[in-house]
Amino acid sequence: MSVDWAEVYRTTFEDLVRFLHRKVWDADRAQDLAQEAFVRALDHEPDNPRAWLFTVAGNLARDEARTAIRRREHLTLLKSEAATRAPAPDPAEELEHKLRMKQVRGALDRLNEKDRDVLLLWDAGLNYAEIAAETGLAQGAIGTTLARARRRLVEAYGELEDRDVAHR
Amino acid sequence: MSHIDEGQLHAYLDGEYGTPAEREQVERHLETCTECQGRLESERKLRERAAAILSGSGPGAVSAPPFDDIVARSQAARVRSRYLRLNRVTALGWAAVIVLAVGVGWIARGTVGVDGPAQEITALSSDSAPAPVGGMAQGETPEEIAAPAPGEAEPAASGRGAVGRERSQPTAMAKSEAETRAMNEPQLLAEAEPDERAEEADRLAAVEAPAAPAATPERAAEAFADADEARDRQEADDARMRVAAGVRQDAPQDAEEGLARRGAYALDEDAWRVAGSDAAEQHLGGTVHIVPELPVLAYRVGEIDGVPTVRVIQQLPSGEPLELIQRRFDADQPPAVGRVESALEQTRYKRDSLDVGGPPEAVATVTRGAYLITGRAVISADSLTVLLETIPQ
Repeated sequence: MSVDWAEVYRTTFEDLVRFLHRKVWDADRAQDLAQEAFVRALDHEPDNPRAWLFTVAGNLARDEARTAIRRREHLTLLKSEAATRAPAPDPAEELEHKLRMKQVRGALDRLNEKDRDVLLLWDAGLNYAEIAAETGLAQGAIGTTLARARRRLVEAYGELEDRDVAHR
Repeated sequence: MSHIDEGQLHAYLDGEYGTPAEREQVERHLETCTECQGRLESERKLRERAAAILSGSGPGAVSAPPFDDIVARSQAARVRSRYLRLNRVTALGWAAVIVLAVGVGWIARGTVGVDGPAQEITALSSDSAPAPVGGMAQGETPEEIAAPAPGEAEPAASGRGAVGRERSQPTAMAKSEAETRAMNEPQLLAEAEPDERAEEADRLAAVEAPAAPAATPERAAEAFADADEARDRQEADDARMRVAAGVRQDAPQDAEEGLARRGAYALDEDAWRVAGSDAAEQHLGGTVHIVPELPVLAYRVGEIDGVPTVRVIQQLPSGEPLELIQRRFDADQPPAVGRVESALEQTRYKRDSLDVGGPPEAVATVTRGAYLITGRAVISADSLTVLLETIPQ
């Protein structure tokens, strides 16, 4: 089967970055990993490119967490401070954004891995069949898993919000 | 139809519920069942709330690089992969040659007895070894060295060393080979020695060299592969240099230098050692505290005022470092907050003198059980306090 990779790239890259961002919590790194997933996909030419890309992206994110954090983050640490601080037009807004990111990340961390994966894959634009293929769950179980994941996310986020308000 | 369960409601809301006929059946049920209608609304709000939470944590604007760049990278990866495979095969080939040569040498040693192992091995290996230019041909006798073969170039003769003079008499086979080589060698030397010939070769090479190749993805890929190989070689050389200099291999040298250059962690660096988390806990005598959800970049162990102290460096989402300096304090004595913070003050001055801009460095201290934890980072004091409060007891 011939795959129009340019079209897959156009329609999937952003979803892939969003998915990866919630795995590695670094926008630049998420873009790097998404590109890497596409580079590998072009080499392997899988039949189901979209599902394959998300599988590889998930693996890359896991590898990143396991092995590369020290290596790359050390390099990040050495970037010029001026460069890292340049895009800060409004400190209050930036702080608010960071706090929110931290809360979302904290809330997602409270989900079990399967629920989190299903939720993030749905949020990245995969349909139930694709999520089922990706996670190994039955397609009929995706709705139930998503319902549970959404509920836990909302509850955990609410708790973290309340806690941060109490600290202020 | 019985009531619709939670999973079915979410599938329905996601537009993923069964076949069109099954979907129609659900809709008919919803028209008549007020309980399911209420639950549907409740689940709809939950779904929207979850989506809103996630949408606020996106990576921001995503700018996809041109697809052609991805294609070029893929081609480069393929070439590199082929190159590495080829290198592996070459390395295996050389390994096989060496093993074979050693094996043959060992067997030959057994066949000729204990008197002359050196010369037999020398003679055997002369088959495959290139002729040394300006050195002593293998298997030559001292006599041949003293009396150069007819026509042999003088510089080559003068270059022959004392090593050959220590040899004993070669075997007949080696001698015969040496004679053959002695006859051929002048010609080889004549080709290799004169500068004019080398210059002529350079000129010819320059004329015959093809025009610079067009910059194709394949060429770029080859260039990447070469660059990678050169970098790997450089890294290996650097590592060997560090070993020779007695530098610890587990210390991230460039990172350390960078930290020192920035002054951000210039807390008498000589006194601090890189450690793993287990070693850090052992040094501290208990749990090393970290801010949850932030990656740990490094652990350092050392002392302040003779008290075992651990420094944990974590990374904030902005990329900035957060440092946690922690040590145990005695319940009978007040925690020495001032000592640690005054040590940090000195380094803050050093950092500020670099004029790197941005907000000032904040320092704050919290206690967790019997541990005093001083944090510092280039963020607002309020944010630092909030961060430190998240450290679990």
